[in-house]
Amino acid sequence: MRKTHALVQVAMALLDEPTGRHWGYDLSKRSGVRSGVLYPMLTRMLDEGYLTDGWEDPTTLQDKRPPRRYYELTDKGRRELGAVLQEARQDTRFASLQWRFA
Amino acid sequence: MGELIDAVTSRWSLLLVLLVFGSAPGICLRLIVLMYPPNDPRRRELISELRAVPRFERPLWVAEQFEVVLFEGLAHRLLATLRRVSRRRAQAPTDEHDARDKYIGNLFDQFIYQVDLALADHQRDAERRIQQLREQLMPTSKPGPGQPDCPDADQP
Repeated sequence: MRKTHALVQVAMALLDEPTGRHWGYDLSKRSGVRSGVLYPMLTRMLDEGYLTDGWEDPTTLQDKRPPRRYYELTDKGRRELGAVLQEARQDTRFASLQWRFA
Repeated sequence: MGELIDAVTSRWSLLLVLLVFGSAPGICLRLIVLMYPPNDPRRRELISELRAVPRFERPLWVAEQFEVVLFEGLAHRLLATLRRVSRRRAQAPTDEHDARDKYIGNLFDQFIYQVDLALADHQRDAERRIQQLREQLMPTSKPGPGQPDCPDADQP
């Protein structure tokens, strides 16, 4: 995948909780990436095997709403996105994002 | 100023606000996601994600989804349609194709045969009519080589 600001931001948001579940809208908020960019990127990550997806169990839902789709990082995803972040740290193109690595 | 306040606090304004921030985003989103292929999980995902979006952000969020669907959903739908068509073609038994081709071939052969028959009939009629005209125009007994009516008279 091409290394872009959006990818680095999403990678940071995902690696904030490497073993947790991530939701589309929350991920968009945490990464600061528009959903118009985020969802196609999530699809590519699924295709590449960086993420797996699943659906909430409807029986465990407290309120009356449809189950949401979640995303989880795979081992490959953790490794590859970690490498993306490592490279981004040294890349001057992503200097504006450096404060988020701290 | 008073009119402006009245306009803002009128029932119609309230109705409009309820529509824009209430039911309209859901309805629009449901229509928008129809561009995805029927079995695409993004359809359900976007509808369920709408509940997580704060009400005041919903109209803009739905507008953003239109962009996503336009670029992602339409492409998926086109690919799905192409895949379905090619799968159908691959699954269709070749015997069926052969039978269809044979049937079309037979129809064509029959057509050609009928055309041949019709042409032959016309040719026979034309020959018969020419023969009748010859008989009417020319006498049945052939003139001799010395007679002037004979067409071969001048020829060596």
